[in-house]
Amino acid sequence: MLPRNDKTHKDNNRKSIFFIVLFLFFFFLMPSAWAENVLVKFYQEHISAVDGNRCPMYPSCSVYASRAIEKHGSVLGWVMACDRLVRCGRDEVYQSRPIIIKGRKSVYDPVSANDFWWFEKEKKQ
Amino acid sequence: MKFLKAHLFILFIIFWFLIILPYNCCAQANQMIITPDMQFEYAEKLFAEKDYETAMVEYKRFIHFFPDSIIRDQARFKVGVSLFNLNKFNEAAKIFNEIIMEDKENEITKESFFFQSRAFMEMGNTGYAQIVLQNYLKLAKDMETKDRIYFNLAKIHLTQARNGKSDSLSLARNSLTKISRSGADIYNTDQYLDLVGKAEQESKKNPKLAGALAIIPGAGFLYCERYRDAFTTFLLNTGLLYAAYTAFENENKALAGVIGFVETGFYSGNIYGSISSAHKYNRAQTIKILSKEFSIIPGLDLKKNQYGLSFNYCF
Repeated sequence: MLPRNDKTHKDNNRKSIFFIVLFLFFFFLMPSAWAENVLVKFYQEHISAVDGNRCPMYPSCSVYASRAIEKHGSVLGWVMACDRLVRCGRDEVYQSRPIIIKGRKSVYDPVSANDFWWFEKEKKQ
Repeated sequence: MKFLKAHLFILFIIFWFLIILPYNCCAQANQMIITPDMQFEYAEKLFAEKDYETAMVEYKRFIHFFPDSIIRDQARFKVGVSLFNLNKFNEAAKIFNEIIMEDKENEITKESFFFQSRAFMEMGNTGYAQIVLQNYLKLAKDMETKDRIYFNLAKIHLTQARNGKSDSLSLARNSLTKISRSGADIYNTDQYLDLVGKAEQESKKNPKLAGALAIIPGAGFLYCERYRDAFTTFLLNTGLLYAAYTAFENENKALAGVIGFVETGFYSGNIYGSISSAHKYNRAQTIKILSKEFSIIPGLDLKKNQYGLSFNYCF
């Protein structure tokens, strides 16, 4: 028989692990559109709206993430979004083309500039 | 009463001879008959004036009213060229395809192959542009046409090289070397072969090596000369790994799981980014070499969210 506080602690851990597994399950199996609409829109509407758009890249990291998920699905979209977060505002600024959007200088780095080496979009004949 | 009727009849006859009959005769004399040549010349005039929209309508009118004319195919071809010049590449490609499918051995069919290939190139579909020319290569008999096909294939491969497609430079070299001696003088292939050689010799980064090095977070970026990215990746990954380890050690498995999940994304992103950076580096090097000889104009289509480089060179 375990002491009461140890048992509670273990139960809490089990619950947490259960929710994490559930989250991961839905994250990797959910439709791309859902990921785009819910996760990214939540960030854009409730965090970025308050925090302000300070992303030096165009499209911004959140839009990039939603487009990557839309184009390549949840798993690869998530990986590409993480890659973009690391590159955002660093060496990419000196290597990609600058553009001016609404009077603000940004660096153009769309999804197509990062998947061109393996993904060729189906083109209309 | 009879007298009145006779008068009315005489008046009608006079009216007929003096007014209606001369009017009809004049109308017939002024009536203009448009011959096929007149119609085609008018369309050609508009085409020469670069009024492609109107020229296209007139060529279509010609095809409608003179379907049996011997220059009907020429009019159809000009409809395609007008569409091409109006940047309606998809519709132009369909017109050229119709001409090609008729399988006639004439100059119009030959030009249709080249124009269809160009239309696909303009649409950014280098694959189809290549297929069209490769199909024509099987049909072409004379050396002059074959040289032109090889030269256009080399152009396509150079464009693909610019887009980062592997082996494109060697394929461009292969196409250029197949051009006959007489064709080589016309197209000045030596200049382009030198250029391909320079682009091939330029220092390149191996994407596989970059990916393998990325096992150590940041080493892949370091190899691709992205020092800031490398430093950030290293700090972020080691920090997250340490945080996940500490959380696990402290029996906080849930937190360790969440951090682990985030870390997995950043670690995979580090590998993906390293490979991607190597490809980007190589593409930048190729563009740098090719742009010394050709004018490469960056282009941006914000509506379609596409980025491209207009690649102009005189052949």
